Amino acid sequence: MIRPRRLPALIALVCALTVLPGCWDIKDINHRVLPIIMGISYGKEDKYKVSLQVPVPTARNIRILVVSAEAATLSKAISHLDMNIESNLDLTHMQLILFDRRVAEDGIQDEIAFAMRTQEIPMKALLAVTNEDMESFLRKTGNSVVQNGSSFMNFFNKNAGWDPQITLSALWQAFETIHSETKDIALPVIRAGTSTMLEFEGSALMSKDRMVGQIPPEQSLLVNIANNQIEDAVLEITKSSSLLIVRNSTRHRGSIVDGRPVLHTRMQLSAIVKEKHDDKSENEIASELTEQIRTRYEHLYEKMQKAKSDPTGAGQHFRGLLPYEELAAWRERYYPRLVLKCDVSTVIVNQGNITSN
Amino acid sequence: MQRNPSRLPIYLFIVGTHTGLIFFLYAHATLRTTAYAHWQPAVVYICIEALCLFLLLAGLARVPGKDFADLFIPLGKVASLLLLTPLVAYFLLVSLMVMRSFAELVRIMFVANTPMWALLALLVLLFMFGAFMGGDSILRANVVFSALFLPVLLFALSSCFKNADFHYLYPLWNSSFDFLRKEEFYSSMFVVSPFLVIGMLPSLGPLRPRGVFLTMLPIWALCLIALHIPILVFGTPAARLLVFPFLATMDSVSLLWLVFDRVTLFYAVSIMAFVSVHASFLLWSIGRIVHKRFPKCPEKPVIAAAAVALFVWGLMIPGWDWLQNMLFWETWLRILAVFVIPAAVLWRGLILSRRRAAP
Repeated sequence: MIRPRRLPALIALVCALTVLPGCWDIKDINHRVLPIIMGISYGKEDKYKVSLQVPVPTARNIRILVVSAEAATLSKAISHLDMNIESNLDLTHMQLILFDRRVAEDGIQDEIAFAMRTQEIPMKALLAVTNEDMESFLRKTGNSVVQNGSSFMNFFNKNAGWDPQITLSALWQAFETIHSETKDIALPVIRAGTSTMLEFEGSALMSKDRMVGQIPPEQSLLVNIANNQIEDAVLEITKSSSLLIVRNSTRHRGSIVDGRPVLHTRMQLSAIVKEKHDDKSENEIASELTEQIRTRYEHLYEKMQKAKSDPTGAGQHFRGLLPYEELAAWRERYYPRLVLKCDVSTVIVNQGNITSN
Repeated sequence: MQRNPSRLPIYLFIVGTHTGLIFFLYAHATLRTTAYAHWQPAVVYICIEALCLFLLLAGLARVPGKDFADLFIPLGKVASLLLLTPLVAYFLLVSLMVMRSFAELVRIMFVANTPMWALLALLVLLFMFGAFMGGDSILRANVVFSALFLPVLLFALSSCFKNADFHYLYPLWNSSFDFLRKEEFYSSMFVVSPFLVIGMLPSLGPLRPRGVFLTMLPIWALCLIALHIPILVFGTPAARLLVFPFLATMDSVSLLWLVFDRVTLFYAVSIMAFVSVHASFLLWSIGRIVHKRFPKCPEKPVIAAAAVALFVWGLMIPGWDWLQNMLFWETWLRILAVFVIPAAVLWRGLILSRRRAAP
């Protein structure tokens, strides 16, 4: 027997049942498809062409679906795709946003703003640039995904198949640097591999939102070294030896001399000798590597300064030195006149288990 | 009412109400006041809060066990109405603002299609339920929430440092102090307002001014940290574009070893707990003050009426920009509540204690 005093509470509890199941506006997982790569290129008829690579689980395996649509805006193209796919498109697991080179060269500010605005696309999603046709790229890489479901993420995963040459840039970093006065990013340029899933061609130098040039992998390695992004050993070949760089620490210090920005960069490398040809001493090998890295870094800086792209964040070290009003002119007025004072030192940790050939 | 001998729930409650704002609206509110060197407005806010808190506590300490209503009602019908009406209105506005902003956050983040009334109804019912339970229960609930969610928030906070670039702290000094001339600075002053709830605490337990100030120290440190995390991660210009900078910062953290893909979910749930504690307490305070001023009005119907007002008002705001505009319109009310009320409490405290000393 329910006492009358408890009746309102009971009614309230029963009413709560209508809300608690949480079945409102929620589409079940089997009614969703979760694209992992979104490609953005220019369309033939409309401005944008959005291509999605969608893994679709089948009875035994996964099937890769590549769909694309053209529209005047990105969201229109996506909603067009959503209409044509039988399930609901859910972008919350997007791993990579791939830009066609022409889009990247024209500037990606609006595209990045779109992705940031919707909260649906995770801000950790990585960005990359490709020269290939978007659809064929997605189809080719899709085949390797079928063989190994995680092969795509391993390419970019620091704990798996990532290589120190590959510059990693996430959506939030693009948003950061597009608006930042003193910092840029370098996006990886990738293509579908012949034997492997992806091949790394180099890095796209960005100046604010526009791609202004491309650097080869050995230079993009230096970008990562300058940003202290190396968490893995990397092999360097000099004239007479192969060295494994196992540790690196780079420090930058900015100063202004006679109105010109001067950047002091100190790179400290620790390397292990893997192979050597002539019987050179440790000191000689070390100075070979030092010299090689320094000249290459100086070349890289010339290139970046000419392109007005600052992916190593040189400008960050002048934020405290220049007045705020001047910071906005960093890329135009100061960065091209920057003097780089690069100081590399190499320590040979060991030569393996033998001392001489 | 049963007195709780431990002061911990009270101190945790002060932390909880602040947390609800610091991790939620504080960063955006402060970021929009100026273009760079945001620690300056933040420190000014802290100084304002410290000063007003000092006035309030100095007044309350002289008359133990009395809250806003007990202090102002003996002033007479008109004077008490003049002081209590803006206070009640301000409490209502703060609850409206946190409720509506939270609903907007949920809509931006998870459920873009859910109608606003459903979100607001859920929140209002929750706040009303909390307020019905009474101040003591809200304090106890807050102890549980603090134990559950403060570690989560602090973990999420520290994980953000992974992406931080400390060069964005520069330029350090903005000698123009242009924020003092900006409307935004005054409309964002709601971030200092949680200290006003302390004026309703004396009836729930003894307050020790030193303890309250010691509790505020980590809160103020947290204010500065919570403000700077979006700046360090996104850089000042990009951080200023974000509506919920803290949410975005948390979303940017990639922790591969964590079981959960998005730390943001924890963040939203934790924020909701503290926002509910804050808003429930404000509703309860409104019921209390009105009941004491008009003893014929029982507390619960007043709370229910306030909740319905919140719901209707929340629905009438069509969008985010209107909410921001509303903040501009009620600036005068905010300044009144933040400065005049503590000063009045001190004045009443001085008079009452003198009267008691020389009868």
